[in-house]
Amino acid sequence: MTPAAFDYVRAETREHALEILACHGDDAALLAGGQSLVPMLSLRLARPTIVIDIGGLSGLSGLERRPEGLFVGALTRHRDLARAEAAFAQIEADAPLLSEAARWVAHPSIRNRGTLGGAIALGDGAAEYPAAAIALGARVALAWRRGERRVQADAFFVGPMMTEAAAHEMVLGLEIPPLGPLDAFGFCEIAERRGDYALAGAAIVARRDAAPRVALFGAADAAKLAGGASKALAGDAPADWDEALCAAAGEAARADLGDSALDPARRHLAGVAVARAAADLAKRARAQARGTR
Amino acid sequence: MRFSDATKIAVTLHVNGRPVAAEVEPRVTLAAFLRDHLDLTGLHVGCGHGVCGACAVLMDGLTARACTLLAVAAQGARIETIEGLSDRGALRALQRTFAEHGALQCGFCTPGMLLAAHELLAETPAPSPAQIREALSGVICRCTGYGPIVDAVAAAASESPPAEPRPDGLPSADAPPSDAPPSQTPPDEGAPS
Amino acid sequence: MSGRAAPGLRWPRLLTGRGRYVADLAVRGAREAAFVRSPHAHADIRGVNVAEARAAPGIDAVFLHDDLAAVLRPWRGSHGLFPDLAAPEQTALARDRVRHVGEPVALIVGESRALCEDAAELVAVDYAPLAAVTGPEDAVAPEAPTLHAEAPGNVCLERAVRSEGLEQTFRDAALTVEATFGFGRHTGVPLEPRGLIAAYDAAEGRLVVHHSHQCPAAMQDAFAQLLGLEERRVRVICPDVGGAFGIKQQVYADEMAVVAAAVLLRRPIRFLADRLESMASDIQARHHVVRGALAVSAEGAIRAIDVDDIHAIGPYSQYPRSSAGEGRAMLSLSGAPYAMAAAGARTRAVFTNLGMSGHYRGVGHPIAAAVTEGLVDLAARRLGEDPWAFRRRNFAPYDGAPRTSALGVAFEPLPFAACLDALEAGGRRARLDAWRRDARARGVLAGYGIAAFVEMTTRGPGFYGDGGVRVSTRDGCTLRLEPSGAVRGASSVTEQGQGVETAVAQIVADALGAPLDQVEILTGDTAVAHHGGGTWGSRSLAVGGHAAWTAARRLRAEILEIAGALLQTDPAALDLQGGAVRDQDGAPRIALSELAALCHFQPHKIPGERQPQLTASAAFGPLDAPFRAGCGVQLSAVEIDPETGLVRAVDHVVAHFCGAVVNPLLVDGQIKGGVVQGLGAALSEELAYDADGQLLSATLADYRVPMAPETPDIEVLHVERPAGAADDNDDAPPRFIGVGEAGTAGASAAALNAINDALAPRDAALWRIPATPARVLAALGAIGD
Repeated sequence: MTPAAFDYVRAETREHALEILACHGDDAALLAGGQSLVPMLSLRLARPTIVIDIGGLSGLSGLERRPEGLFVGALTRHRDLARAEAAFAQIEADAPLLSEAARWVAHPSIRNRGTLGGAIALGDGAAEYPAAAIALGARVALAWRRGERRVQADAFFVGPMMTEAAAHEMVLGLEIPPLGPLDAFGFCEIAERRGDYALAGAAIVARRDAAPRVALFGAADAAKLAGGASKALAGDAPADWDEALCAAAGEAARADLGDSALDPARRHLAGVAVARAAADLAKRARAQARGTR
Repeated sequence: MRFSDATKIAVTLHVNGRPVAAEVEPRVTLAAFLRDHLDLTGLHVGCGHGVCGACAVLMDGLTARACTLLAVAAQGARIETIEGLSDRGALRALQRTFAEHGALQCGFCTPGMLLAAHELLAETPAPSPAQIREALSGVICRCTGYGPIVDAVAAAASESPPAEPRPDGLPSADAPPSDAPPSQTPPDEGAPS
Repeated sequence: MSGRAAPGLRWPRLLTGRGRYVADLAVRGAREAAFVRSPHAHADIRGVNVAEARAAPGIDAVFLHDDLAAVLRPWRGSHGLFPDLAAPEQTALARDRVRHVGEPVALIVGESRALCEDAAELVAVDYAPLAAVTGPEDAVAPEAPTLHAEAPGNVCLERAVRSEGLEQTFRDAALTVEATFGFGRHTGVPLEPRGLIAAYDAAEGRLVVHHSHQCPAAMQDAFAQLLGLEERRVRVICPDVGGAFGIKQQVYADEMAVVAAAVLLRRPIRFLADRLESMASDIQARHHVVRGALAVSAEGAIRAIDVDDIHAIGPYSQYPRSSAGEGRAMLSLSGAPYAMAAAGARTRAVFTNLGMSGHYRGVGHPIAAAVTEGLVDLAARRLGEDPWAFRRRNFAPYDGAPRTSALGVAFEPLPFAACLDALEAGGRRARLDAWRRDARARGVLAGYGIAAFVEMTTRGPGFYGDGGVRVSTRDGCTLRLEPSGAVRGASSVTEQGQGVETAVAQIVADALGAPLDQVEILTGDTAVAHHGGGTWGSRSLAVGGHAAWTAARRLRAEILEIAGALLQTDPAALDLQGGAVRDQDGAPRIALSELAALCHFQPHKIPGERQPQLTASAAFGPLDAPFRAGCGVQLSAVEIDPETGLVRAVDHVVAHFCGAVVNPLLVDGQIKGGVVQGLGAALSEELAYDADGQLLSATLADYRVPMAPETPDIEVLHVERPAGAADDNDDAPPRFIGVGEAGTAGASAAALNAINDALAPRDAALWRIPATPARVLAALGAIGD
């Protein structure tokens, strides 16, 4: 279990990385925290001819409030999002769902190294961030040699470890419309062991001025927006969501999965996850209404 | 061990307080580099794919799995291994309570357990059993059944002075997820007997 | 015996990163190895092209089957007690057919593992895939493909035991309960993967193998036999071993290939299995389907048990022990804790195109316990009787007399009821009932269950010896007194973390009268210790400890004799305690260190022109009984989330009888670790293969061993030998009983009963482990099967 040989470049700047990426395309792999890439190299499941190390690039880590929303840099580590302290305190105010999702990523030593951008770029259907990004209505910021573009998260994750990013594009980060004081989120992950990839999970965001967004992970090969479940929750104020409504949303989510559910158990569990995430959201909404967020 | 002649990359880093400069093949993991190049065999490769946690080191003060890192990507990093931490006495309390509680048998996972516990106690001086289990959740022990390790960590916590401050100055715990569904909440005082 | 909770002697080293596992050893000039392994479960090999691999950078050699055949003979895992056991020939590298995914086809030796793996990708193997056999019942289906022409029907071994009147007993029963149990395929996952370094000196015909293994002497024998070397010139050294659990007890095809290549190349070769190789090629176990029935009288007495077992071994019978072990446990242990009139058991081991299968911690014990205890709970539930009371009434009586079970196995008296008492003491049941009530009120399916188990340990020579299998059931110890007064010993037991080396040192210290820190025991080296069994079947301390005790008493006798001569005192009036020769009242007369120095440097000062030997040796192997048994009752409590099907073990208690406890820290460690392996089997671990025989759980991310958050605290209650039983006396060798299998033997059974207790209010039941969310949800009717 040793990687096949590859060349290695320590990128000096973002432009440097994108230049090399443009030259090699599919044959290149970007290395950030390495927590998924290096095991895949060792298993020889990933066979790049060149690894471009972007781990040392400046300006790609941390949070920034921009007019378009909260920008979370690709090199931000799970640990910092999960802890939401010091320089990352803003995440708790603007996108606490991302913080919650980070706490569910793997184990402490992986959270110490792994990055948001790495997880987004990998697009694992059982990972937490893609669903969180979809629920938040976030946009994935991509850069290539000649420019940048933004892709809505719900259009970004297209299949098993497949995303909309082209081979010459690099994930810069997530652009998240911040949650307002009266917005709320819910999250639920069902896994056999703490830190395992999810059997099923759900992330939900309810904004005061928009319909709720329910996103699923784990149950299918890519994270996806659950339209029926989202619709089921629309109309009522989150603080009023009762058990029956949450269960109905779960049932709708099972229908949303259609043939994409990996197996019957995951389809079932996706419904449970949605119902629980909705209940979680309702609880938070009630707490917010009481001013005890 | 001699690495192949494929294009090597220069890397400089600090290992156990000493500067190390080397040229390594890009595909060499940090685990292989430390073990084969520097003879630091205290970390163990139990799975090689980032699951078992036996290859733990401290990288810039935080635990990392050396099998999920490329040596060339550790440029400029401060690495501490079980040997270095032991030699400077950083693990003394844990090592004693591990022995007292039978928190190891074959010893293969022990570096991973000690480093995970060390990281926990640096941030959470008085952890609950559930917090201890969460902190150890990324390290497989196939011998002890974990209970003795949890007891040893709790014992070390109860008797040690506050551990050394974290390098980034951040004080508190990497808390388990809030509002976890009941099936996911780590076991706590609710045990029935 | 000492009963002191001494930490392991190796621990200071292991706690500071100074372990010496095979991968840590430096051998000058050692080459590395990697294998080309079969990607098919079953295929003919039409051709192999290694030209490109042989020319690859850094490669010394590429070996195929025929290249090794000159120095290595094939083997058959046969067993003389079962002449009808089908034991097809196995070779180190596949010859013309592969029979499981991961079977070694070619061996690459080169400068580094990375280059070997690179070259392995250049080997072109032309396979013609064949249909695969992937389950126990599939193997005996009429249309099943045949693995070996010499075993039509794919049956490796079939055995049955039936006591007279079994059918009649069932016909007369007031109640018969039946269930079909399914057990997943498991493996031990020692965290240190298998590995070895083989070095051959052609001038002397000498082979030295540093081996991560449990049985160095058995491997010395196997290397000599299979490679045609002089046994005396083969040395096997087991350094620190990172767990074993039965997985490092066999002859492995890949390891034999590496040793043969070292002989051919005349260079040291190191092979370290990686985790992918381990998952596919380590010994696997369990994978049974068992139909069981229990007959109960109108008075609620268990009258008979009948089990029909079929289990899927791999494509060969494991060598050298054969694959008869799992079935033997079914024939020995089904119904064992209970008194009953009649019993029947049939077992079939069948060949499949799955990984090699054989002995993993507990060997069949967990299956027999789960089936027996599941049926017992089912009967109690059907009768509306409390399962604890039902067991208490039906346990084989403990009256100090040996008894023969309904299956015809002779057991020493075993205190099951005392173990149940220990579990019940202190109001535990009331607490459990209250917890269960509260949890159910919260909407959680909560339940607890118990399971009695028997642990067969410390085997005598009857099984392997009479079967013509060259596996020693003996162990030896040699001790010598050094000038400092320290005692250095060599023992043939082996250490994989269970602490037997420490326990042997404790026994020596106690039996001799020396402080523990003055005792050094070397283990795991065939060049310095007796030929002995090593570690397997919960025997090493019982056997090796006995030998060590005897050697220490012999050394003590000589020391006291010398002291008597020196002190002009009758040796019988002297004692050796705490490192000093003392009067009977404890007053020190001469320190052991002083006496030792005198013996070594001024022996002429000892009256009588003595030649102090200061060395004593003893060997021991049980001859009085086929095995020694321990027993116990385990309690498991679980909570099931009815919506997710997730089962969480929340509590586990083991009440255990194992005779004298040498070191409670080590004994408890064995039991707790064993329990967690049993819980893993019950809840999450499974080597899943698809219908083509592809391994789906090929990494540790997919083969889910329990982690810290999923594991409950485990309590161990030691049950003493009940009053009236003969106690060990100081001058007789202690009769130890092994403890290595105990935790695993009963944990799955207790957990399965707890799960069914939890499911009972929903009128649901589950008889298949691991109890994954999908299976639990199916049992609850939430999803289809």
